[in-house]
Order: sequence, then structure tokens, then C-alpha cells
Amino acid sequence: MLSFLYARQSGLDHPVRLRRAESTRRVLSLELNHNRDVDRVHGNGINTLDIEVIDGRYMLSGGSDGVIGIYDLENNSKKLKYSCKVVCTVGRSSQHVHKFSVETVQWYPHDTGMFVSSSFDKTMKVWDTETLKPAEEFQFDGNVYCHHMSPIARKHSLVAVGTKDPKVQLCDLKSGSRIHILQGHRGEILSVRWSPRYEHILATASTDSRVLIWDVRRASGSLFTLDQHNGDKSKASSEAVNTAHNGRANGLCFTADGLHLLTTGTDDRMRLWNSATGENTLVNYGKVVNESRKGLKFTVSRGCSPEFVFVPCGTSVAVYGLQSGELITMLRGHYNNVDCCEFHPDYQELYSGGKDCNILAWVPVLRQPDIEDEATNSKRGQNKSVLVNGERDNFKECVEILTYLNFRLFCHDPRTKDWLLMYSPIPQTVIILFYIYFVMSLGPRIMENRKPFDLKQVLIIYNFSVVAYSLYMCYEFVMSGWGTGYSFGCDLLDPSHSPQAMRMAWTCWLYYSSKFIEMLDTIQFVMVTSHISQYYFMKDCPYPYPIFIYLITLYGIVFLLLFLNFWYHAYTKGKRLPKVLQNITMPQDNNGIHHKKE
Amino acid sequence: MGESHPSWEIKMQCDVCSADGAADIRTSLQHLMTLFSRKLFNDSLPPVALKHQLYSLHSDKTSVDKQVSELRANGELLMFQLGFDSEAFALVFAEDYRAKVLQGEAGRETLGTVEKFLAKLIPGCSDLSFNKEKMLKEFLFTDSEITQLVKSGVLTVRDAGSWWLSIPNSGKFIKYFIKGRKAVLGMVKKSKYSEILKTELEERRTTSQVKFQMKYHIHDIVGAELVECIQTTSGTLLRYVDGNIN
Repeated sequence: MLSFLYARQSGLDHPVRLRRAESTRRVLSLELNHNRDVDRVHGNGINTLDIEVIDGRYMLSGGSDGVIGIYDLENNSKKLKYSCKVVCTVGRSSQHVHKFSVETVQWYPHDTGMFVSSSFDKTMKVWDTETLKPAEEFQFDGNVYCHHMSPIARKHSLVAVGTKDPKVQLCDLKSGSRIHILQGHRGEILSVRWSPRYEHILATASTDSRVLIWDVRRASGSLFTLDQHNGDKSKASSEAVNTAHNGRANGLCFTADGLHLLTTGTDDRMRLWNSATGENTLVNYGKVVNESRKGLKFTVSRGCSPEFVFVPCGTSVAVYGLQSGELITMLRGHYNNVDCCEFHPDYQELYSGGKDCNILAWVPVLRQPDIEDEATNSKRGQNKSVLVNGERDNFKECVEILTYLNFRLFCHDPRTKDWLLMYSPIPQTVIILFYIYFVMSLGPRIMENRKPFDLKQVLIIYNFSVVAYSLYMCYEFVMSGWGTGYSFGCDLLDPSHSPQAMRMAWTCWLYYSSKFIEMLDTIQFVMVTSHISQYYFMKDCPYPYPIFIYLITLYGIVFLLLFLNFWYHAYTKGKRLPKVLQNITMPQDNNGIHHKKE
Repeated sequence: MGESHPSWEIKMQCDVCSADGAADIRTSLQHLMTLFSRKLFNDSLPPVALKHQLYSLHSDKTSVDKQVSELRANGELLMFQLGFDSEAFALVFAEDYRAKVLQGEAGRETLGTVEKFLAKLIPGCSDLSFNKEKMLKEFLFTDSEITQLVKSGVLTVRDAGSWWLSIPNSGKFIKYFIKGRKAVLGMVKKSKYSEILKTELEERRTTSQVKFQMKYHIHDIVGAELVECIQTTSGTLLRYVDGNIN
């Protein structure tokens, strides 16, 4: 940007170059803005928008409910948050309102004192903006799909009207006559457009798949028809010869300089034509989804280089590069189909209206300064682990423990995949079920008729080894986590392959497998392992409290109580109590240690 | 200028369309031809690629179209209208086409006529269809010769008095192609959320309906925009687009 400014200042570059470069940058950064809003006036979808050419201040909108609204787009309040207010409307209560949906509105090209609207009630009305009453009304035989006044005309004031009738009608605003008709189409006229370069050139698009270019001064018919194959009759099937599209041609837009014409059709194609020769420039835009049964209103940017086309495609607006045909971006924001869009050339803003009754303003994003973001959470590893498609939706749903135990998540921490019992929840389930079965039925059945086993030696060895194992794990946990950086709350998982993280994962696995060994502590097992499995099977711990710490504290308390009990029984059996009470202490079963009554 | 260009300026720089461009398309076409399974048709068909498969390999559709027409003008490539879709064009290298057609015609009495037709077609003509006038006046074929050409499969009837250029024995190809395309689209549609990662789809086993290689069909559905191609952190995701007729 600075280089552009310097070049302009020193005369190296033409001033237009800076303007074009900045306009292009702004168009490429179009986005929905929280601060900009347009008042909602329509109760039904919005079919058409038009911004006046002189100041670019007032916008007209026509809706499916027959209502016409005028908005003030200029921000006179000093606040950043601005809502484009409705200046006035021709509402349902007005005497002169259109009975059915308004299809096209257009400001008078030379001032805002007048505007013209056409509607499915087979009329076209010329309104006086001051009084909001129609100054003139034209009646037609069929639904009026579109109309257009030439933006540059000085020598005539004709309005071209496309209706259900295959004849294009030209209405004269000065005299009110409508005798001039253009014959040539064989189907309904869906779109008409005057050229912004020559005031007598008119383009019309129709349901018979053809687009004709007319010079209205010529009596004998159209100048030429646009042929998508450029005269190469061999390409098309015989019915499709000399057509602009393989379906209905329903959208027309001239580029700002009038040298090119864009047409869209229901064959999901958009074509760019040289408007002087009618040659198809063969720019391939790909599939431009077009399901509109009426005309499609789209627009081209002005003042940028390269130019952009904004086409409503379903519920979003697609932005294509004009000459290259590449899809730049899709502007998503509407809740329902988008019907029309209009470009404001001075501010490079786009207004789009659709069936969801909203007019959205797409505003260029201001340049943001680049902030060096020293990731404060880099230690904890903010990288989200790679997820299989669709799993992200699962994570948002599963909040309860039961759904985790449901094993819907077969997503792994890839580091632990190969360790024993970690590959899938199935072996663990089998072991648990077998344990329950053994404890509840198999074990008692086997032991019913036998003497109890003498497991004293086994138990001593087992207990000592468990203590040693636990000490080792404690050490590992401290070294890999809580001693070296983890907080005592619930952190996000560190899914990296760093040695520290691997150590933590390994330690958690040790803990987990030791729990299998200690099947005796069943409740603790269920709680803790489900917490661990959550921890490793998902991104975020949903619990606000550090459960791990609570469990350890609980352990500690339980252990303390048990130890106190043991100590009491072991060491207060005689000697510690005062002699007075010794006689009345009840004989207790104390692991075979009996004391003689004194 | 010392400062780095913002990304929008880089977008503005036009594609450098050098002589490398046509070579680029040629290599892509050759790659697509390798995906075509020859022995499925007992080696009677030349390897065929579809024009929209190139759109999945190259992002700029307009330059792909331009380079394909350049190659056709040179006489290296032949384009055919397949008939099941007005936008689907098949591309065959001219040399392969000539070799296979002559191989198929060997020993038949129509050989001479076909050779004459190929000689007229390959270096000069880049039409997709021919009408009677052109065949009689420009190419100087007689009616009986035209009948012979239709019999040999090089021309198929389009309309009274006009014919499409076609590949002999391509009926089977079109049948398998349409079936395979439908089956692959069905696989995408049946996946969870109607979307599937491209790499995962490539690894799926082809059902009995799908006779070609998976990659061949994937290039086809991506290029014809029957599925939406979305870039994700796990790779390219193909999402089924509603409103397809297929």
C-alpha cells in the first residue's frame, strides 16, 4: 500500500492505479459486518434491489409482498454501529401499492425524484418519490418479469419491459406511448438490459434459451443472437443450435464499460460474451447453480481490476473473477435463497436480499495490524489432535459418562494405539464382564464345597508389590506432569509426541492397567478409568472441577481413616488404654492376636 | 519493490500461459489415460479421458479449455460428444484413435473408406459432427461410403443428414461409465453426512458395478461438480451435492 501511495505521489503511477488496487483489495475482503444492518421492512422475500447512481445514498427494494422500501445507506450518526434506516415505504396500507409481488424496481437514472416498479399484477408504475403516488401506470397482458431504463440515455426515455408475452415492449416515459415492440423471441422474456455504453443497444433473455441483442432504432429485428458455440454447429445437438444456454436464459448483466455481457441460464452455466460481436469468450465459470424460475438478478463490480461477478447461488452469493472464471469465495449469511444483489461502487459494498426477508450488507474488512501472538498456551499444546470426519459433531453431543461408556468414540490418541488394552474398548469390556460373572456366580459356585484357600503369603507379596508399583507411578506422574508444568485443574490434553507427553501417557496407562489388577476396588476403577478414557478420547474435559485431585484426596482420607482404625485396634488393645478401662473393653477379633484378660 | 506483496496482489497476477501450459495438459491427460482399464474392453478401445476430469486436476477451467482447443487444433487430440450429457466430452489422443480403429477394421471391406476418413480427419478437422453437405462436398464421400463409415462405428447418427464423430465399440464404455459413476456417487451419498474423505473413497473396494478404477471415477465426479470438494485438515473432503439427477 505504501508503495502505491509513494508511486502516485511521485508520479510514477497513474492515480487510477491506486484507486483500482485498493478497490480490488476491498472487494476481496468482503464480509458480514456486525456493525452494519439494514432495517427489515418486508414480510416476504425481497426480489430486487437498486441503488441510485447519482449519490449512491438511497436504495430501493421490492418484495414478494408488493411492498417497496427506500433506505438511506449513509451513516450520519457518529457511531460505528449503524442500521440503514427506512426513509419511507409504499406499504400494504397504501392505496396504490402493487397487488402482487414486485419483481423489479429501478431509480430514474438522472435523479431520485422518480422510480419505476413492475410487478406480477401486470402493471408497471412510475412513482413520484415525494408523494409516493404513481404518476403513470402501464397495463400489460401478462406478468411483468423485468424492466430496465437506460442509464446513459439522453436522446430517449424508453423503458424496456419483459413480460410473459414473447414481444419486448418499449414504453416511452415522455409521451406515455407503448407502441414500439421488438419481435424475435419465442418464449417469455425473463430479463432485459440496456447497454451502459450505447444508449440504443438492448439485450433480452428469454425462456427459449436465446439472448438477442437489439438496436432499437432498427425496424427489422434483432442485430444478432448470442450463440454459445460461436457458430460451430457441430458441437450442439440440432435443437440447441444458435442458443445462448441449454436451458432458460434468465439473467443478464453488462460489465461497467459495456464491452462484455454476462448471461446466466438454468443449465447451471454463466457465459461471458463480447457485446460488440456476440462471440462467446469461453470463460469457464464451472457450475453456477441456478434454479430460478424467474429472472436472476446479479451484478458486476465497478472500478476494480480484475472485475468480479456476484451471483446469487442458492443460499449464498458466489464471487467469481470476471475474466479468469475462478471462484473467489462464497458469501454465506442468508438463511434462505438469495434473489438479488447490488454493488455499491463508491464504498465497494454489496447488498443482497433473499427469501429470508433480510437485506445483508457485505462490507470490506479494514486492514488489521499484524499482532505477534506469542502462544501462551504452547506448553499445553493447543494443537487439536487430528480427528476423523464427523467425530467433531459427536464430541459436542456426548457429555455424559454413559455415552462414553457407550463406545461411540473409537477415536484414538494415536500414540497409545499399540499398547496393551488400548486399541479398542472391547477387550476391557470382556474382562470386566468376566470379572463380574466370576464374582457373582462362578467364584461362589467353585468355592462352595472347598476349604478356603490360605492366601496369606500371596497377599503379603501382592500388597508389597502394589505399594512399590504405586510409588513408581506416583514418581512418574510427578515427573511427567504435575511436577513440571501441569496445573491442578483440568487442562487440555497435550497430544504431541514430546517425551514428556509420552511419559504422561505411559504413566496413565500404567495406572490404568494397575487398576485392572486391583479389581477389588471396583467403584474407584469405574470412576477413574472412565475419567482417564475421557481424557484420552476427547479434546476437552467437560468437568469444571479437578476430579483427579478430588479422587486422590479422597483416597488419602480413606487411607488415613483405615490406617487410624488399624492403629487403634493394633496398638490400643491393652497397653495404651488406662487400666481402669481394660476390663471393660470387649474382646475383639484381631487377626488372631488375643490378649489375656488380666 | 522491497516489500512483500499482500496476498490479493498475488491473486491479481494473471496466469502465465506459456508453452508449458499445453504440455501440462498433455501430461495430465496421459496420467488419466493410465487410469483407464484397457483389458476391460479386450484392448479394442483406445484409452479415453473426459474433458471435465481435467478440471479436477487443474484449478483454472478457462485455461484448461484453451489448451485443449490448442491441442485439438494441432491435431494431437480428438474430442467426441458422448451423448449422455451435453457437457461431457471425451478426449482421445489422435494416434491411439487411429491405431485402434485400423486395428478393429483390419480384414474388413470398410477398411479403405475408414482410412480415407481418418486421413481427412486427423490433421485438419476438429469438428464434433458432420452434416451431409460437408461429407459430400468437402470430403467427397459418396452415400455408400457414408453408410460404410456408420457401419464401422466411426460415425453415429445424430439427426437426419448429420452424424456425430464417435469411437467404435464405445457403447460398452458409456454403459460401464454411467453405471460406475452412479455407484460411486451412491457410495458418497450413503456415507455418514453424505461426505467422505477422498483418500478413504480411493481405498474402498470397487463393487461389481464399478468397472473402472476408483480414481478415474473420482476425477470424473469432482470435475463435473457432482460433489463439492472441501479442503479440510484431514485432506480433501467430497460432499454430495443435492439436486443431482444422477
